[in-house]
Amino acid sequence: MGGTKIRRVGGDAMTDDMVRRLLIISIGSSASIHLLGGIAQLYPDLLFKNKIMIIETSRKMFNDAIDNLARIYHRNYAKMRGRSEEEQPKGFPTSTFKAELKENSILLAEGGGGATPEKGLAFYTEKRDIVLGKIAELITNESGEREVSGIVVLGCAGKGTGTLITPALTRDLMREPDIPKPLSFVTIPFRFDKMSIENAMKIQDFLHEVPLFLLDYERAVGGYVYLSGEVPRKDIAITHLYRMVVGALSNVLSTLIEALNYSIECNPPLDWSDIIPILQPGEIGTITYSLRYRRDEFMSKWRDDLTTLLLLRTKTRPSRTRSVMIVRGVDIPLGLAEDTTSFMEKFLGSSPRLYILNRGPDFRIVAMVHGFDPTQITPPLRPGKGILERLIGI
Amino acid sequence: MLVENPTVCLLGYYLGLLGMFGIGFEFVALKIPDFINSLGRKKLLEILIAFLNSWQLGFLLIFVATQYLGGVLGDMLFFLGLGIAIPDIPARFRRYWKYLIAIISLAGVLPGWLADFLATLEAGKSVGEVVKEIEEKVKEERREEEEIKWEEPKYVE
Repeated sequence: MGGTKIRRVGGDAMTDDMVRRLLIISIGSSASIHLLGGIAQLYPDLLFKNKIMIIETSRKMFNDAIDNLARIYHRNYAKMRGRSEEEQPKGFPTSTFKAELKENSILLAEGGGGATPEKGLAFYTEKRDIVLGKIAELITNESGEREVSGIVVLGCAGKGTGTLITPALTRDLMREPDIPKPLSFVTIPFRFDKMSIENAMKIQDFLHEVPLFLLDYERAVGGYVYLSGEVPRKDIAITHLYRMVVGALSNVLSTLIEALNYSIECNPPLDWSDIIPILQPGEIGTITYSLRYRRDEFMSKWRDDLTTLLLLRTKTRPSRTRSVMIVRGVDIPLGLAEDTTSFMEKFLGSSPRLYILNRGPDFRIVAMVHGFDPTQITPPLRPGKGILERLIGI
Repeated sequence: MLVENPTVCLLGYYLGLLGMFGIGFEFVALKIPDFINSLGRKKLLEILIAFLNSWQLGFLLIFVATQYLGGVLGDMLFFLGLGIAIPDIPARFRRYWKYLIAIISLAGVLPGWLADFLATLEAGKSVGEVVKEIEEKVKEERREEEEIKWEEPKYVE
């Protein structure tokens, strides 16, 4: 697998009225700073084409998240204007972006969730109506028409804010008739991180009623190793390990958000209402993907990639799943559409809705799959040895 | 790569044979005896220039590209051959069109024994074996028959 590197994705110019605007809600510091920051670095259009909302319980983290996204915005705006970051004058338009981001976001408390998910959930429950009211306000424009096509929620399970607020908010949004149904992605922490995984276990109560997409850190690191050939050493710095996770997840989610933004360019055009029917309460979903820079490598490896890079696994194969598959690349051959459909039928018992996005310098497949049994997640949601220990050999 | 496509390889093989036929017909049988008769430097240069411009050399390069080379180098040589051959073909076609039609017709209704014989020239394989190999390669690429197991993936090779 050596030689494949995670790198930036370029975007083509497209007029704003052709772009489907999303509301991207990130909950908690890990999701807002690391995950959303990582996605924005790979796909800067995320900041230019969508509305962003940060939900936080700590003022310090709230400000850090806003500053971080504003920094990425400033850097990429300068790049768009052909200037260096230093040459670009401070102030407009970054100041406008920052002010709008602050206006769109909600600080539920001052002192943070204290790594206690119940505490975070209590802050949310107390201000639920304010949060839902703000979201309802954000999805419409000044003339009262719906301005946002869909909602993507990002949360990281393991700490005080993202763990339980993400499923609770998803549940509440699913019940709101006038708000688009959300696609909610929640990350599952490493099994060696006892405190985080014990917190993440608390999400299980929601999994039977809220249709979430779970992305497992253990699988993300496995995927990073598979694609890059870089096997973690026993003395790997923990920050580097998290960089691997953020790198892998950012690549997947940036492709997905880009496809949703440019969904009108897809063949056939991808509508939000095409995706939502794959969600079924009582079941969970995940993502599998392929990412290759050379066409011939992509054509020969995509099957291996989709089986290896599944970001959540269950002990037994799900009997039937529902999926949406986006293939992104230039001049995708007709045969691939047929082959991917037949592959997904055999691999996950799924007849995917397939969309081709004719963009980008590389070749990618991102498949959102829903229909896994939440009681069968492997490695199980409890402290213990995970995939990482096997990869490192301890 | 283009030259790694089995159909292009087969086409390159037959074009190469045609090229060799042309070399034999035009150069070995007609021009070289003429040169030997005169042994003039000018005549030799004429023959060399004619060869450099000829469709025979073009087809020969295509043959080498498809049978012995691969990747970018193969593709480059293939198109170099095509570039040499194409400008020369219309003039030749006006003169030799009867022969060309005869050869194309013959290729279209190639008797089994002749096809087998030609195929034995290619790494000792019969037509049946070559076809089977191509079919297996296509099947391998599409992997339609393969069962996908539900097992822990190997993240490290």
